[in-house]
Amino acid sequence: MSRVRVLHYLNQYFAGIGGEEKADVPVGLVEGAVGPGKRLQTLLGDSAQIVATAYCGDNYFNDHPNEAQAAIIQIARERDVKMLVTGPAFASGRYGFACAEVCHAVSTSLDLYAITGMHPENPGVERYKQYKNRKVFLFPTTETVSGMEKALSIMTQFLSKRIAGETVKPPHEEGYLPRDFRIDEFKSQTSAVRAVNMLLDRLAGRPFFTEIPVESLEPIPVAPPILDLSKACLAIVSTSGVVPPGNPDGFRGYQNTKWKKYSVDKLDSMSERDWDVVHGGYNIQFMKKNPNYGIPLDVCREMEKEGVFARLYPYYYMFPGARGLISETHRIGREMYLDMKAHGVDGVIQVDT
Amino acid sequence: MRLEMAAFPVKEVRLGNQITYQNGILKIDKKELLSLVLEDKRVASADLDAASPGEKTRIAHVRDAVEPRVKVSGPGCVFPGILGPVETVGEGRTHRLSGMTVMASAEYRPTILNGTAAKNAGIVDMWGPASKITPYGTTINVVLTLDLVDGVTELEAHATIQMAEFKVAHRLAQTTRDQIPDSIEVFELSDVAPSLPRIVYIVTFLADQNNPHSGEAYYGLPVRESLPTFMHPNEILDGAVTADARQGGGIHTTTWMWMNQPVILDLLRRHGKELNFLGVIFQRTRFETDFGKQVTATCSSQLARLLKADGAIITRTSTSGNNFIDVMLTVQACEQKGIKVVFMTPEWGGKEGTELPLAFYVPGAKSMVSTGSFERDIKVPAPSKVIGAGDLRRVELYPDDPPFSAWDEHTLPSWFLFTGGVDWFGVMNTTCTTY
Amino acid sequence: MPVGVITAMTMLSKQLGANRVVTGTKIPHPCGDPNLSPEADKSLRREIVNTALKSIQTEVKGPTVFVPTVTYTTG
Repeated sequence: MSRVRVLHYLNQYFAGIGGEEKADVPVGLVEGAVGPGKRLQTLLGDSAQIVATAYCGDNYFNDHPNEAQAAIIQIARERDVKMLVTGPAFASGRYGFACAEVCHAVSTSLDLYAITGMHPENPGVERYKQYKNRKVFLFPTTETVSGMEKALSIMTQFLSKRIAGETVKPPHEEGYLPRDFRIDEFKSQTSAVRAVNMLLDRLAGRPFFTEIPVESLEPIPVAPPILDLSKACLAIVSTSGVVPPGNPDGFRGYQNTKWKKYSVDKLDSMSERDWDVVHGGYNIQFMKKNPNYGIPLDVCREMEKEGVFARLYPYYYMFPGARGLISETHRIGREMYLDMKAHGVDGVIQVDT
Repeated sequence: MRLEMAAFPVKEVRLGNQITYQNGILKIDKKELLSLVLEDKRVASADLDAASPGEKTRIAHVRDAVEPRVKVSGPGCVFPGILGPVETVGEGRTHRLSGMTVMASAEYRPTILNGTAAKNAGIVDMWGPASKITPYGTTINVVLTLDLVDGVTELEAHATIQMAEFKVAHRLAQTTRDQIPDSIEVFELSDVAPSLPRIVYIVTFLADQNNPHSGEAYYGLPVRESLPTFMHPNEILDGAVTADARQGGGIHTTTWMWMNQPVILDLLRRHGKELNFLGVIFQRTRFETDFGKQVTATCSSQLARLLKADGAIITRTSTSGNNFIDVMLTVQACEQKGIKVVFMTPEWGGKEGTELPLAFYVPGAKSMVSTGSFERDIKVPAPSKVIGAGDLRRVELYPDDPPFSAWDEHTLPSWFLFTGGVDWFGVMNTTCTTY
Repeated sequence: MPVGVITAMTMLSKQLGANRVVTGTKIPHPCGDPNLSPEADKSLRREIVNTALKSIQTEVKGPTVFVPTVTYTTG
């Protein structure tokens, strides 16, 4: 059986080029295994061969990421490798970051498995999770090189299974950090039975594994407040689904991917005969009868006339919000924001149903 | 309360000129069943057909499904409050034709055109990828196709469709009356060893008080804006809980799913051996304010505490993210009272599984079971046969969707377009795993 | 650009990171209450929108809920 061809990537230090003073060296190439790669080769035995080691200075990679990645992809292509190992980087931030980037770049370009190792708090881990690359696997290590043997050992184990053609198992079974994407599967037991089993385990104090991880959400940066409302132009944004009669822009009841703005320029209030409601996620009878519930135009016009604020932007922004995919709603929010900014809007009243 | 559930498995359905059950073969006389259905003057026309697993058949405009069951002893009848007087059920002996459904496909001129109160339909594929994600891909479905007269109100439409499918189901179940069952299961919450863990099942369900039929009914009464109550699991097996028969898409439950509730069945079967099943907290959700959501969560968790529950299984219905909050707050409230919860739920997650699986989080949600995602696309092939009411080349699965033809192959944007396509109660083996 | 989000689902909005959240009446009618007389309904709507205006003039450090004077008729 022919040995699987592997490329190893190291920084300038582990490749034996030099220390911090050599952190600016561009991408270079050494035949075979070097530094920790030698131990890795021993562990891999006859199943795989580290045909070459690519290296790069930590600063060079940081300052020229595109050139560095292109060069490494080129090497991988020319040497016809089938797998990539980068690091392990332990706690080195620039190195860890480079490892995560190189893994992703080479894996996507050449459609191969790429693995790396670093300490769980290394900034490279965040990059790895952002990429959510199905073929890239990051193994947790100690902070210092004292954990080198252990790191190489689990990485070798993983590689050997892939060389043997085994399917990848979930993170806690194989030891890598999750990429946090979900794969649809069929289990051998029904969900109801698994639920009762999990509860009995939990009540008995036995170990159990929750099937849905609890997520933490990124905070949205706080916008500064408006200091003088009487000079401000305000716009109304709504997810309530109020649209012109006949829904001329073809909004769906759910999973919309576009937004529109509609003129309320000459109007002092929202009336039943002028508007329809499209939304699959709530009972629309009240909104249809009185669209001011979702576009509070009547009171906004009063306040505008009284000078509470300077001007109501003559359009309201609409995105009917049932079951909107988060990736789409982020984009839509950004687009609305840019449009409002271009038209001199200072603040927003948003109504969500 | 002791219930004997006698099973008569159906291996084959044949259309003929009598209605009999023998050796697993159910023979159906279309004429007799349709004349039963046509007694209701709100039914303009009706038809009947059968679809078996493996056939390249698609069923469209599905609004509800039910399992044929009949009580042969004990108080009340199956579907109390609807097919008979309001009387507590769940005792005596009930016969069931297992492995099959009576499935109602119906069309009528609606008076509510969109929003959550509008009628909703599902599709069922008897073969291919979509047959693997719902229980109806492996049951023999006797499809009752109904066209209603113009001028029915939404609530009348529900009542007409439901009564028709219930009458047919009842008539079919009657074939087993004097026969010896294939198997009998005894369901009873007898006294057990005090060391067994005390477990309550909190089944939450969305019920919208503003809709013509709120979504689920208790002894025939649509549940509206009410607080949780407590039930014996046997009541649900005897049809005490029924669904809105106008809404058959995967977002909703079917009556069949309540009758075959997998959490209830598993807890009943393990009662006395591994656990002490205390009963079912029946909790209506989707209060329209944070305040209301907090009240229902407090009430439900307090019920569980008063029952001295050690643990609870909690499930939900409806893809509504808003509704999800009621349920998560209930999970949190139970955990805070020292009741350990396993929350079983399907998840969001986007098309590729890279987006957040859940719409809302509470710190107490430590042990969860996933029944799969309803946001993925699903590619389905073209059928050889299509059964269903109305124009089968214009299947509108969700109000405002452009219609498509049931005869074509499609890539559909969600599993909830299939009846039973979202696994609310955990009857399927589908799940999602983080990689 | 400051945004005052009027919604009945304040917990959800907060959790998703909206920094200025205003408690609306109820999901199908966040800005008002059809159970009230038209005058009272409009005055409630004004109070809710006013609270939104207050919120976008207020410095906040993270997700904050602003509560208008609302009476709950039902849950």
